[in-house]
Parts: sequence; C-alpha cells; structure tokens
Amino acid sequence: MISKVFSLSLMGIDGFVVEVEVDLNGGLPSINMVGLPDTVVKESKERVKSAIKNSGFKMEPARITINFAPADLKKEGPHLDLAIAVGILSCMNEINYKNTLGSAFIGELSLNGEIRGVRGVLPMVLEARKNFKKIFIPQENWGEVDFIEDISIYPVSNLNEVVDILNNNLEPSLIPVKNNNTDVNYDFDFSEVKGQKFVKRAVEIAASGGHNILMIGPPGSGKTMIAQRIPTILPELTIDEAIEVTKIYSIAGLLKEKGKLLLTPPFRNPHHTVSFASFIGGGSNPTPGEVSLAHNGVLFLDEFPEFRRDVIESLRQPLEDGSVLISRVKGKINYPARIMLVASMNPCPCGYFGSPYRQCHCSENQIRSYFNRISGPILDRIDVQISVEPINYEDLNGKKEEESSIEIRKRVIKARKIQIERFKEDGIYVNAQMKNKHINKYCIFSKAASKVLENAFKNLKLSSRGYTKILKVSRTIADLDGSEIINEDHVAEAVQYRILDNKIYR
Amino acid sequence: MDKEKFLKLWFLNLPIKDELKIKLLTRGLELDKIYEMNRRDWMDLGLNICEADEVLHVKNREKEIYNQVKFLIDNELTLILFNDDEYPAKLKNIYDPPAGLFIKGNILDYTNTLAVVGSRKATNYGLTVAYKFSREISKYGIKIVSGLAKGIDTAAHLGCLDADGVTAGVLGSGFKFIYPISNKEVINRIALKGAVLTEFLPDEKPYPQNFPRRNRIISGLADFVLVVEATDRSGSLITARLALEQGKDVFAVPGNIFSLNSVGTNNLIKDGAKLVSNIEDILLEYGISLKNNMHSGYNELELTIINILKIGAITIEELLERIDVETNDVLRAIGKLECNGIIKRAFGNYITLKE
Repeated sequence: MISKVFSLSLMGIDGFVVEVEVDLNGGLPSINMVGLPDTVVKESKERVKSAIKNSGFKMEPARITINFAPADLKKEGPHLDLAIAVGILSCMNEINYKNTLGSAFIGELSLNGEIRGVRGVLPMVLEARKNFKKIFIPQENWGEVDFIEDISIYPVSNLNEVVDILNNNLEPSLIPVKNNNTDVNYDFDFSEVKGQKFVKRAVEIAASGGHNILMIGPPGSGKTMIAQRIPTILPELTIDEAIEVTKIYSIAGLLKEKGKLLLTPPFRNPHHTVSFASFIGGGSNPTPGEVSLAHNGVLFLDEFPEFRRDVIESLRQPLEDGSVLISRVKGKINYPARIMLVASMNPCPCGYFGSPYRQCHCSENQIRSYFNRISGPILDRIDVQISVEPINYEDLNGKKEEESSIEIRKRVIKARKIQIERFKEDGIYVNAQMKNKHINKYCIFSKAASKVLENAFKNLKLSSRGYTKILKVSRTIADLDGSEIINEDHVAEAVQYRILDNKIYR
Repeated sequence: MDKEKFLKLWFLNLPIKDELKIKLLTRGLELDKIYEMNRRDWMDLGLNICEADEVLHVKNREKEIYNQVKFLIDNELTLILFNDDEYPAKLKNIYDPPAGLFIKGNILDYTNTLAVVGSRKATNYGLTVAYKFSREISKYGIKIVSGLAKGIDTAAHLGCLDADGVTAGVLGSGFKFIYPISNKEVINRIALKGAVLTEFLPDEKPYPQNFPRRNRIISGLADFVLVVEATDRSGSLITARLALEQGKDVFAVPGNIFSLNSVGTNNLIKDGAKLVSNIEDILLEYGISLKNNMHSGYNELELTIINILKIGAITIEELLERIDVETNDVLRAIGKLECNGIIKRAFGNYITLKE
C-alpha cells in the first residue's frame, strides 16, 4: 500500500511543499530513497527506523521505497524525518491514513522517538498555510509561529503524540509561550551616553531618514557604545517586517534560544575578519549572510577600513537595491538586505589624528591611503559622516540627566511617519532612498535656504555628490521639525554632517 | 636664440663650483668666449689637469644639452644667470649664491617677502597657522616664499594663492622631477602670478642633500623667516640658521610644549627669535599697520560663538557644553557661519575662525 504524506522544504527564504510517498514491497528488508535527497535526508532512514521501534511500534521487515516530489528540487535538512515516519506508520496501518490528509509534518526525530526543533519553521508554516489545514511542528519551534492564523498548528514533542492525535482526531494542545513581545526591552539606552550631543543629534537624524552613517574618531571616543544603541531609537518592526526578519533568522537557525517573532530591529556587528561568504551570504546551499541578518535593522561595521576590500565592495548591491542575489550551482537566491549601515573608523592608522590628548605619528600619505581603502561608491552611499571626539572626564562623571532612547525614538517615529506618508506612491520608505527625481520633487527650499546653499557651495567647495547628500539630510532635518519646506536652518545644520569633504581626506 | 640657451646650459652643466662660475660671469666674459677656452686657460683658473679635461669633455655631451634646451622651451622655463639683470639682487648678497636659476612663471622683484617654513609632517595647528598667516599677510602685498614641500610649505603657498597673492616656491630638484608630485597643481597655480624656481638642472633628482642647499635660497629671497612648526631636528631650523647668517630676523610661532612639532620653534623663541602670535606682530616689522575689520550683522548666538572662537579653536562638543542652547540651534548657527565663510571646520571636530 502507498501512503502520501506532506512536508515542506526551503528555497531561499521561502518554503515549498514536498510530497513524501512511501511504499512497502516484498523483498529483502531495506529503505531506499529517491527524489534528490541530500545526505542529511538520506541518513534519516536510520533515525526513523529507531524512532519507530523505540516508540513501541513494530517495524515490519519490508523493502521500503520513499520518493520525494517534486523530484527536481534538492531537499535538505533533517526536518523531513517526521513525514517519513508518519508515511511508514500509515503504510503499516499504525496510523489511520485518512486522518493524515490535509496535514503537513515538520520535525527531526531522535532515536528514542522525540521530536527535535529544526531551522526554517516560520517560512515553511507560512507556505503551508496556503495548502493545508493542519501542520505538525516541533514543540521547540512553537514560539516562532504562535501568531500565525488560518492554520491549526500542532506543536508536538514525540512520535507517539503525533500518532495519538492523528488516530483520535485530537485538538492541538497549545501551551502559550511566555509572551513579553508587547513591550520592547533593550539592554542599552542612550541615557547612558554622557555628553556627545553632536553625535547623538547626528544619529537621531540618520535613524529618522534611514541614512547610513560613518563615525570617525580616536579609540575610546565611544563609537561602539553609540552604535550599539542605535536600534533602541529605531521604530519597532511592523508585523510584515518582523515576519521577514524572523524568516531569515529561522533559516539561519538563529531562533533557537529566542524562539519567537522578532519585533525589534536586529543589530549585527560582524568582526572585521568576516569572510566574504558569511558577510553577504553563500555556501553551496546558500544561507543568509550578515547583511541579510541585519535586514530591517542595523549593520554595524567597526574599524571599517580593516574589513577586506571585497567585503566592503560587496555592500554596493545591498545598499542600492536592499537585497542580495546569490548565485550558486544549486540555485539563485535573493535574500532581502535593507539595512542601515553604521560604520566606524579611526581618523588615521595610529588613531590619534586630530585628538587633543595624543600626538599622531602618521604621515599625510598614510592617512590618505587609509581612507582610500573605502572606495568612492561606498562613501557615496553614506549620507551622514561625522567625527566623534574623545569624551573628557567631566562628561563621564557628569550628573546631568541625559535624554533616554524612548524620547528620541518618539521623534524618530514621527519623522518616519511623515516620510511614509510622503513616499506612499513612490515605493520607497525613507529619505535616504530618494533618487534624483524624488529629490527634485520633494526637496523644496525656501529662498533663504537656497542662498545658504549657494554660499555653502562657494565657500565649502562642495562636490556634486556632497551636494546631494546635504539635500537628503536637510530633508530629514526638516521632517524632524515637522516642516514641509526646507528652510535655511535645516540646510545649515545638514552642512555639519559631511566631515569627509575635508581637504585632508580627498 | 637657441644658441644662447645652449651656451647657458652648457655653462651650468660644467663640473665646477658655483663660486668659479660666478667669478667667470662677473669678469664680463661672453659665454661663447668661455666656450672656446682651452685646457691651458682653464688650468690658469686654478683647475688641475683632470678637472680641466672634464670641463672640456662637457662639449661632447651636446645632444644631452640640446635635450635640456628643448625641455626648457617645451615647459616655458626661463633660465637666468648670475650676471643677468633679472637675477634677484637679494641672492647676490648671500654666501654661495647659485650661478643660475630655472624659473617657471614670472620674474619677481622680491621686495617685501616673508619666508614661511616648517615641518612636512605638520599638525592641524601648524597647517592652520601657516595657511591663515600666509593668506592674511599676502593681503597686505607681502610675498610668501616657501619650499613647496608637503605640510607647512604647501599650506603657506595655498594660503597666499587663496588670497590671490604672489608667492614663490623653491624646489629641491630639477623641473623634470617635481617632488612631491602631489604639488604639481599647486606649482601651476603659483606660476600664474608668482614664480617657482630652482638652481638644479632639469635632470637633477630630489636627493636629500639638495634640500638644505635649497633652504639658503628660500632665506636669501626673504626679508624675514617665519618658522611655523619644527621638531628639534627639523630642516626648517637650517633655514632659520641660514637666515641668521644672512643677517635676517627669524620669527617663530609658539606651540604646545608637549607637541613634538613645536619643540624646535619653542627653542627658537628661547634663543631669541621673535614670538609671533598674530599677523600684526609680523606686519609691524614691515612697517604696515593692520586694517580694521569687525564682524557685523550676526545674531546674538552667532556673535557668542564668534567671541568664543576668538580665544581659539574649539571642538563642537565643547562648544555645545559651553553654550546653554538647544543642540540643533547651535549646529545651525555654526552651519550658517561656515556657509558664509566666517568659520571653518578642521579635523577632529574643531572649528576655528577663518579670519
């Protein structure tokens, strides 16, 4: 007798349905698998056999053929175990086959019949919603999908439980997850950063307009401290954004300890020795890289020029398109990567150029070549470039109350709302994504502002790319002020965030 | 015409001391007469037989010298010898003057000149001082002489150029090997109104020993020498010493006592160089009085900022601490002042007054 059981597998960040057909034949007892299973799937026959036996069922000696369809797509991962076991058990009449119809099964079996958590449950359940009424998932993964409606989800912890539910048509027993999703909590807060008003203001502007930001400062000036706190002032993710982010984390297998929908913007800070493949995504079965893990959040690159050249250059596509296309023999996969890039670097190789407290020993050439490690096209995409000063003792010790992240976030959210409203029909979300046509349409200047711009052009020797950056940033500053027209104040402030036009570096 | 250039170049190519060349030139001998001189005549001038042969041997290098002539013409370089009218009178008075000078740009009269010299590895402070002083001083018609090296020298030239002033740069190499190459554009700008000069033949490379020699021309062309930043072993101190030997006053800009780049200048002041902290100190020596220009037409906040900056450069964070006004208002005031060219941003978040 043939049984046909459904499961799912992953292609990029989306799931697809896999049919698992099981047939028992006469002949020498063995299990054969066809339909492009990879090694992990092939190994599952041993796990399935033991799991069935140790769950108290008798494994009849038979020649078992298992087929995976569609046959032309590679199936990988141990999550097909459960579907195979259910298929075999229904062939052996341990399970009422009719009851398996309309259900999908995801889960890895251990030898004693327990069901282990797997990667990628969220995208698979999202896909299953379209085709099935019920889905069985490992108990461990319940947290990441508990918000999904339109499908009955059965979190299960062992094979016997599955058999029980199927034979007796039980309702799922849902244990509510410890849910603290509603209140976003961070370990950090901007109120811990003393002084640094200029930097904080720059960060607020960058967060409001989604601008990438580069911080240049000597060691110990607090660049990392500030960067870590940037997610705390970003708006919470919308449910769609959260699903996108959680999907990526689910595929990368990074949800295990968190095990729930990620509502806060992610923050990633890969070390500068990061390899090309782990940064942008890759591997023979492509997995998402750091840029995708930072999707809808912050990618922080500390010591920016120390990153490998190809890694820095690979940022071009994600910064431009908000996604990365990874082509490998086994397929082309598009991972989303809409990030806010936060980069930090020292002002020179020794780190103390421009510091009031230490002498810098670098020659002009050394400094220039240090900066040349970051190419023009990348710098073009960083709208806010500031220099960070070392903090002095009075600031550190100050009793002054600093503004908390929540206060700043309120302003950021307000500015973001204005932008979303404005760009409704343009398919972009924030000022940083504006192209020339948007700039012409939305950057309307008062007369006085045009005068300031003209003077700036003359006196500061602005390049045309510096000019565009000032336009974008002044648009964001105006949004923070709730002003539709950009006035001279906004332009004058925007001029402050372009340290790299400084002669020494170009 | 080419014949004359050829003879001049042939003469400068001779492997004899500049002192002897100048002796020959001041005797009133025509160059073609010198060209015809035989071994005996040279030996009468005190050369030994080998040296005289070497001198005569230069005639065989005709092709090389014609190439040099072509280079002069192609690059519009002027060549003047010690006995030419265009030769700077000031240089005639120094010890060991050059026998000839290659000049790109204009023939200047070198009255009212100030040499601005200093470290190649300069700090932001030094660069700002050099730039600012040169720019302001050149507005009073004083010509800036410097050495076209990186750091202070370049800042001094640029300051003068930005004020549309006249500046002269002295190279430590021939025109074929401009060093540092990054100054090529600066040189072209200088040549428009000022002059770039060198005593070295076009094929001379920038050997280290050329630079101390060049310094005597810098100090020789100047009325006074201003040392902006120097470490305790800096080449700028050689220029200062040469200036003293030539009977010229040396000015020095004081610096932070912990800054290595100011050790040399602070020592100069200890040894009696005039301490210079504003351009008035310099103008006084030329007998020029300061023009009066006040800031007007700014609002209260902007005036507060200007007044704070009058005391010296300050970082933005310090300024924000000092003024109890909303951060973005202060940033906007700074922005406006910057756009209007009143203040400027320097590295490390510093802002300073431009004037």
